[in-house]
Amino acid sequence: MAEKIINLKNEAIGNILEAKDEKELERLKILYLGRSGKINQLTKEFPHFSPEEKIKAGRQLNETKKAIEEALENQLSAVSNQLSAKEEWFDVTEPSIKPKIGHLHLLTEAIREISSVFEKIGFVRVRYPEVEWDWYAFEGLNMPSTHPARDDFESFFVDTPAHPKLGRMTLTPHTSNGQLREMERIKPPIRMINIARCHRPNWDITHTPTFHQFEGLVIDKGINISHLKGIFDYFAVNFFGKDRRTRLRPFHFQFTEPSFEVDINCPLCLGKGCRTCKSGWMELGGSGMVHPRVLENGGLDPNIYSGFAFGWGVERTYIMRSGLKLGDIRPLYESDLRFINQF
Amino acid sequence: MNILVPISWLKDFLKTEASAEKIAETLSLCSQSVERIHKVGKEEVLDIEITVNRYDCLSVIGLAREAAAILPQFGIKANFLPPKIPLFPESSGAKNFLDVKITDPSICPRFTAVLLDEVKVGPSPKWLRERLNLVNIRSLNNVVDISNYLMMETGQPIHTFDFDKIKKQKMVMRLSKKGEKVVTLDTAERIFSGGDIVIEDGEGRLIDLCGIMGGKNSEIDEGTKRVLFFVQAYDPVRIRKTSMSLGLRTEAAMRFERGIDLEGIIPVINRGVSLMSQLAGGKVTGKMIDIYPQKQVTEKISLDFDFVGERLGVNLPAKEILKILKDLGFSVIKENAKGAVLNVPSWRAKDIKIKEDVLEEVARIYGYFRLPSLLPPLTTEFVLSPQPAPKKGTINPSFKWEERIKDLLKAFSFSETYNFSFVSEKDLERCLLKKEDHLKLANPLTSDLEYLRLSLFPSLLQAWLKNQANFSQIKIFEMANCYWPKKNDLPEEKMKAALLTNEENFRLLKGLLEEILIELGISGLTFSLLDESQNDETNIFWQKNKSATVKKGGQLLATMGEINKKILNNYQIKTPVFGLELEMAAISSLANNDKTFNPIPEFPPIIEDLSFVFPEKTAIGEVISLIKNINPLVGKIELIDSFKETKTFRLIYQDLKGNLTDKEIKPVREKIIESLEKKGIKLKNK
Repeated sequence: MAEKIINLKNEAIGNILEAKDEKELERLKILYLGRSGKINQLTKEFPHFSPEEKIKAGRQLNETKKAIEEALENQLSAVSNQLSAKEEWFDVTEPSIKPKIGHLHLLTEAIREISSVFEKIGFVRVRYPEVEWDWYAFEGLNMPSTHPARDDFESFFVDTPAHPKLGRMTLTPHTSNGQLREMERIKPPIRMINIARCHRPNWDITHTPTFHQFEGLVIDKGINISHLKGIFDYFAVNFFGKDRRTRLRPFHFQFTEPSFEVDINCPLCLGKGCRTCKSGWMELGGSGMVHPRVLENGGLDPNIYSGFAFGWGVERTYIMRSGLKLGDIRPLYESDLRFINQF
Repeated sequence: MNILVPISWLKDFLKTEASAEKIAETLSLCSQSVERIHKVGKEEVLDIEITVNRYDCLSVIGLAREAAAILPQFGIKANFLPPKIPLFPESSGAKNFLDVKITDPSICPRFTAVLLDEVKVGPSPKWLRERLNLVNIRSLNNVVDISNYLMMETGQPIHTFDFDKIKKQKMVMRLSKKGEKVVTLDTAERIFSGGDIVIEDGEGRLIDLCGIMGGKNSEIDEGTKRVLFFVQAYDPVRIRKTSMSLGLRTEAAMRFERGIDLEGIIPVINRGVSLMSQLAGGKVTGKMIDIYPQKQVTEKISLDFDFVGERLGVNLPAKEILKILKDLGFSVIKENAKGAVLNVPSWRAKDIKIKEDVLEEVARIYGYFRLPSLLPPLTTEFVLSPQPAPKKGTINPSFKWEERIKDLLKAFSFSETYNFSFVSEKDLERCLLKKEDHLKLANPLTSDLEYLRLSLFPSLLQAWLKNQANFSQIKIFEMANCYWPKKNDLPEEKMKAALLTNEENFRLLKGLLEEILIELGISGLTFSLLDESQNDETNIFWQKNKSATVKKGGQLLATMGEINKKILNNYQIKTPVFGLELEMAAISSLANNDKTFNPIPEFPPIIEDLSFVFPEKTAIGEVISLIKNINPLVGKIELIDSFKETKTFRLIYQDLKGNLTDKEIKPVREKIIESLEKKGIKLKNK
C-alpha cells in the first residue's frame, strides 16, 4: 500500500509540474483530489486493512493529499504569472485621464510668492485704498501740486468734488499711499507690505491701465541704507534664485531721500554682461530712504526714526523671472482661457 | 530725459585716462545712468538718462564735474577743467536798444539779452557741425548752431531773434489768452489755451513761444544783420504745462521745466558773445539787459558726520566726506570735529535743501556698492495686543480666507481671471446698471474705461464673450475690489469674488457654495428666494425666482443663481449661465479654523428609505429640518431620489449610547409620518 501511495504522489506531482495552463491543472485536481479521484479510490481499499495499517495509510494519504494541493497551488500561480505577462500586456504610455482642476491666475501666484518672502521676515501684509485722496497719494508724500505725477496724463482722477483738506480723489498710481496709512495705523517698528491694484493712463506692451504694485515700508530707530540693501538681496535670492543679487543706482523720487533704482543681475551672465541684458543688470524698481517730510506727515519725528520704502510692479517683477518667457504683460488682463489655462 | 555726450567733448572739461566704458560704468553706479555707448566713426557717444532733479547734468560740463568727482573713488585719476569764461566786451552804441516789459516777474526769474550787430549769417565751421551731428542736432547756420552748441555744453537754452523783425524794438512778455495763435519755427500754427508765456512786439504780434520754440516771424535768416542773443529762465511749471498740452517736447522746454541755474546765465552770455564774434562776426552794441529782481538763494546746511554714518551703516572719516562734497562744488563755511556747515553750489540750488540731500551726495559718490548688505534687526519689544485694524483697508488674516477660497475654486475646476477695474457705458447699459451709481473718471484713457465697477459681472460677462468661440464649457471667476461711491467720502472698496459657469445648475452651485463655506468654518446658512420684491440695483444680475440670497445671522454672505436672461440676451449669450457672488468682508469676518471633534458612533445605525408624495410648492428644506428636529435619534437625512412630486429620503437613525432596535425606531417613524401628513405630505405606499 505504502508504495502505491508514493507512486501516486510522484505521478501526480510530475504531471502537475508539466501542466501549462489552468485548465490542465483543474483537470489534474479532479483526477487526483476529486470525489472519485485517485486518492479517494485508494481509500476504497481501506476496509481490507487492519486498524494499524488503516492509521498508517490514512496518515500517508493525508500527507500526499496536502503535497498535491500545494503543488497545484504553486503551479497555478506560476502558470497565471506567465499568462498575465503574455496576454494582459500593459501599456503605461497610454494617454492619461485627468481629474478636472481649475487654474489660478499668474498674478495670484506672484502675489502669494512675494508676500510669503516678506512675511517670513516679519512684514505684515496690508491692502490700502485703491481710490484715494490726493494727500495720501501725492501731497503728503512730498509731491507738490506742480509735480508732473499729478498731471492728468500721469494719473487718473475721479470726477467728484475734492475733499476740503485732503484734495482731489484719485486712483492710486502707486501703492505708496500705504506709507502714510500705515504710519497712521501703528507706531514703529513698522514692517509693511502693501499689495494692491494701481491705475495709470498707460497702455502698451509693458503697461496696462490696471496693474499691481507691492510696497514695502520699514521704519524703526537706526534703519539705514545697508538694511535696505539686505532686504533687496534677501528678496532677490528667495524670489529669483540663489545666484541673484541686487545693486543700487542713484535716482530721484520725491518721497525718498536718498533715492535708488534697484537692479538685479541678469540670470544668464550674473552681471558680467551678455547679449540678452547688455549691461549685466536689469531694472527691478525704485526705492529709497523715507523722506523726513513724509515721516513728519505720518506723525513721526525724523530725528528719532528713519526708514526705507520701495514700490515695485507685481507684473514686471514676476515676468522678470527666467523661464516664464512672457514678453507682453497685456495678456494678463485679457481673460483668454487659452492663456490662463496654461498655468 | 536722455542726452548724448561725446567722450571727446566731455574731455574738454575732464582730464582723465579713463575709457568710455569705465566712465559709463562709474557714472551709472554713482550719478546718472549711461544706457549705452554709441560708436560714431572714431567717436564714442554716451547716451545718458538724466533724472528730473539733476538739471545741472543736462550738460557736458555738468557731467564732466560729476565724472571728476567719481573716478578717483575707483582709483582712477581725474580732474575737472572748468570752462574759461571770456570777459564781456566794452561797447558803444544805443543804450536802450529794446523796451522790455514783463507783466508778472514770476514768469521770468531772470531776463538777459544782448544786441549783436554786423552779423554775417552763414554755415558753421566743420568742427562745430560735427559736434552737433554727434548729438543729433541738425546744423542750420552759424547763429542757431552757436545757441544749440552752448545749450548742449552748459545746459542753458538760448534763443536768437532777428532784431529787425521785432517791431518798434519793443517786447512785452506776458501770459497768452485763450485762442491766441502763433506760427512757430517749424511752421506749425499753435493755438493757446491760455496761461502760456509769450512775447508780443510793438505791433502786438506774438513773436515767441517762450522757452519752447521761437516765432517764425522773428527768425534768423540769411539776410539777418542784427541778432538779439536772448538767455532766460522761465517758470518751470508753466513751461511744462504748455509743452505738454501742445505736445511740443523740445530740448529747450525739457530743460526749462527742470530748472535753470540763475547764476549760470551770465557766463553763458559771455561765452555766446565771444563765439558769435569768432564765428559770425557779431559785435556787441549797447549794454547787456539783465532783469534779475530776486537773487537766487542757496541753502546753508549743517551736516553731522555721525549722521552720515548712521544712515549709511558704515562710518566715513570727516576728511573723506568733505572731499566728496568739495569735488561736487560745495564750499565749507564752518567745520569742527563733529560736523560742518556747507554752502550749496548755485547749480544745485533747487535740488539740495536739507541734510538728507547732502547725505545722498556723499553716499552715492562713496558708492552704494561699497555698503554692506544687512537685514534690519527684528524688534526686541514684543507686543502682545493684536495689531489694530486700519481705518480704511485690509490687514491679515483676511488675505488667508481670500486665498483659501481661490484654492477651493481652483479645486472645483474654475479658472481665475484678472480684469481692469473699469467698465464702459456700454457695459453698464448691457448689464442694466445706472451710470449715475458709479464713480466716473475725470480723465479716462478711452471711453471703454470710464467708470469704476460696482460688480465683477460686467467684466466676467465680457470675458465670457471672448471665450465662447473657443470653449463650450466655461467656468471663470475673479476676486477684486469693487468701488461703491459714498457721499463726501472715498468709495467703499468691497472685496468680492464672483464666478460664472454653464456646467453647474442651482443645486450644484449651492453645494459648491456650502462646501466652500464649510471649509471656512461657516455653516447654518439661510437661502432666500430672490423674487420681484427685491428689485434694487445690486440684484439686477439675477433672474428673479431662479436665484437666492445667502445669509447667516442676517448678514449677506453671497448671492447666487441664474444670471438675468435679459442681460444674457444683451450679450447675445443664448444658453443659461449661473453665477455666484461672494461678499468677502462678511465671509472673512465669520471664517475660522476652529475644529470640533464629533465622537464616532460605536453602535451600528439603522438605515431606512421612505418615499413621500409632496403637494405642489412645498419647500423641501423646511420639511427636512422638520424631520431632523422630531427626535435626536434622527442622525442624518438625505434626499436620495426625486421624481415629480415623489421624494425619497434616506433616514439614518443613530444612538450613540447603544444598539437600536426596530422597536425604538417605530414611534419615531410614526411621528415623522404623522407630522408630514399634517402638511399634506403623504407616505407613498410601498
